[in-house]
Amino acid sequence: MSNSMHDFLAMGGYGLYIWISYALTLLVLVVNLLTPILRKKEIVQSIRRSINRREMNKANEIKEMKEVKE
Amino acid sequence: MWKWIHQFGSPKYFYQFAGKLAPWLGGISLLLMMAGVYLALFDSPPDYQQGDSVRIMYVHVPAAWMSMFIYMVMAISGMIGLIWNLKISNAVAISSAPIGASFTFLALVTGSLWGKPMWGTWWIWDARLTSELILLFLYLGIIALHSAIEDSRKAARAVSVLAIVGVVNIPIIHFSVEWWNTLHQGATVTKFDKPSIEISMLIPLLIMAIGFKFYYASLLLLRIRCEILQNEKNTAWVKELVQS
Repeated sequence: MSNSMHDFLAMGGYGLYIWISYALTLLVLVVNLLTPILRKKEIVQSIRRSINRREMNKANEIKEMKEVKE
Repeated sequence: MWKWIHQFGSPKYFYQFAGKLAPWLGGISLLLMMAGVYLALFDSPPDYQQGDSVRIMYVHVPAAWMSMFIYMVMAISGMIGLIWNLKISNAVAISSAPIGASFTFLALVTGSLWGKPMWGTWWIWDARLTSELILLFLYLGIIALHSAIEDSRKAARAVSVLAIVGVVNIPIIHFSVEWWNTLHQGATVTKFDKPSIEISMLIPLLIMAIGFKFYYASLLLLRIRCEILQNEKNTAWVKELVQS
C-alpha cells in the first residue's frame, strides 16, 4: 500500500517537477482569486471612511456656525 | 435585445449582474479543474517517450493558451475602448492584464520544470520561449504604464495603444515553432488539421483549458466590480451600497 503511494508521488522519477508545477498553478490561481476579494473590502472601507469624514466635517461646520451665532 | 445589451452600459447594472454571475462561473471552473486534474494525474497514460513528466502538459499548455487568449481579449477590448471610449471596455482591458501576466508566468515556469528533465535545460533562447517571455514583458509593461499615468482616461488610452501594438507578438508565438528551428515541439492541437495527440490526453487537456477560461471569466467579473466601485465612488448608489 505505501509502496504504491510512494510510486505515485515519485511519478517515475519526475515527481518533484510535476508536483511543483501543480502546486505553483494552485498558488497562482488562489492568489489571483484573493486579490480582487481583498481589494473590494479595502475599497468599501475607504469609501465608508471618506463618507464618515465628510459627515463629521459637516457636523463640525454646523456646530461652529451655531457657536458664532451665540 | 439591444435593450438587454444596452443595460450593461450602466455601471450599477453591470456591478449587480457580475456579482450574481461570477460565483456560477467560478463553480463551473472549479468542477472542470478538479475533473481535469484528476484525469491528468491519475487516469491519463504516461507518454511512451516522456513517461510521467508529460503530466506537466496539462497545466503548461492550458496556461500558455490562456496567456495568448487573455492578451487578445485585452487588445480587442482596449481597441473598442479607444474607438468608442467605453468605460467597461477599458475596465476589461486593465483587469485582464494581471491575470494574463500570471498565466504567462505559469506557462514559462512549468515549461522550465518540464524542460529540465526532458531537454536537460531550464531555459533556451529559442523562438517559442523568447516570444513568450516577451509576452510577459508586454503584460508587465501594460500594468506599469497604467499605474504610472494619473489621469484614468489617459492611462486607459495609453494601455490600449500598447496592447494593440503588442498584438504582433501573438502570431509570432504561435507560428514560432513553424517558422524557426526551435527546441520547443511543434503544434499538435492548434493547427489546421486533425489533432495529432492521443484522445486520452486530449480530453484532460481540453477540460483544463475550458476550466481555465471559466476561471478567467469569473475573475474578470470580480476585478471589474472593483474598478466600477472605484470609478463610481461618488455616486448615490455606491454610497448606499457601502453603508448597507
